[in-house]
Amino acid sequence: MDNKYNDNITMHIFRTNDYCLDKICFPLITQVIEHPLEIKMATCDFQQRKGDYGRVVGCLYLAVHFNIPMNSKKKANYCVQLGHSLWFVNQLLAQEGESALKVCKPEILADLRNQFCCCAIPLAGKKHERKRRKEDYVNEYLCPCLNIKDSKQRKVDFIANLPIEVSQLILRMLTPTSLFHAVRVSKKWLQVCKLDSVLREKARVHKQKEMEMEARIVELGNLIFENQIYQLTYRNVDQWKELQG
Amino acid sequence: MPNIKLQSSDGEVFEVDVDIAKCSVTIKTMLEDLGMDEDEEEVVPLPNVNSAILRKVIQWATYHKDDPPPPEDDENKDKRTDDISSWDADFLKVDQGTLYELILAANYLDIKGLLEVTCKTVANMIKGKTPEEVRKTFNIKNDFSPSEEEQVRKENEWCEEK
Repeated sequence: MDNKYNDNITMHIFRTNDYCLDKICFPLITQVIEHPLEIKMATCDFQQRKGDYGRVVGCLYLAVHFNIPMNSKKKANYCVQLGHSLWFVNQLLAQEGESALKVCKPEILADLRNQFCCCAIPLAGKKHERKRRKEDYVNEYLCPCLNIKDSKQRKVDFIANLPIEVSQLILRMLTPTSLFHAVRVSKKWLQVCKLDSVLREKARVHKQKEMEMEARIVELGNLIFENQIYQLTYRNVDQWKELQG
Repeated sequence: MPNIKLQSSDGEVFEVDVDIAKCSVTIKTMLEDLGMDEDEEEVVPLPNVNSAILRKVIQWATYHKDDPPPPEDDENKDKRTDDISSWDADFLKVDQGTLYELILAANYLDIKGLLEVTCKTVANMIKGKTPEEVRKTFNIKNDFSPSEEEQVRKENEWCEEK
């Protein structure tokens, strides 16, 4: 490889847990393994072009070779994360030579953040730096480029990813107000609520109560403002104030 | 006390008191159905639970082994979520990924108490928040257009069907 960028490019491969392999779900990456596979570069090209607002952006286009270690008896359980998608190693192999994988240096990540991000991390040449704990790489390089604060703080969309009956169990624990907020979070959340008759009924009952409450406010308000104050007891006024408040 | 061996998805074997293991209805049924003798050197494989999570589940079950069985619940009744014991609250001070896997494990192993307390924890993360705050909490993209969201807010027709 032409070493004009003074970096060796190394790709961090994530071993995912069983669920993740089934669902290909981003937040479930549980373990980072450093150099689990021998990765060799096939081609490497640095392109510079004008980005939005005239900024110069550049990226390394990279195709990679994977050598699966001899001692690995299991079928390759490795995925590579690019942006928010996980790629199985064999999918990556299919990309070889097509420069489909973009890898960028940390210093230009900020510019490129919105276009793509990738977990390929250039390792500095110095030996002692390579020895740093893998978490450091994740936190310093990967997380910033994925816009995650800390690898320990990975976020999970529970309602969208859990089995639906568990999601509904969670949603049934909400107060009506929180439930009405929950349905507005995303289409998926709305769908999960809509499919549960218990949640629908809870919402209907609350909706009904609110409508009755509104009608009562109008009614009491009318009594006051239509010069019928003489008909009001103190209790009515208090009630009205309470409802308004 | 007789012990049984539980094997996690990544191959680690845990030796656990049978009574503790049986708080999982899945394991209990498995033992009964298979007629596994308690003195046999049988290992129960749990292909859906990794060692880190299984360790936590065992820790939880060990602490709660003397709890009375949870009452049958009425699904229409509002459930309190502010009654999580301080030990459980401490136990569940984990990142969202771990909490997610704990819920999956509790569901798969059918441990009602653990499922309930983990779900309560998630419910508490949703309660009292605006939709935008909820999205922020779980890093969810809003896929409603502003007018769609406004319609959901105003009409709430999703709940109309009986």
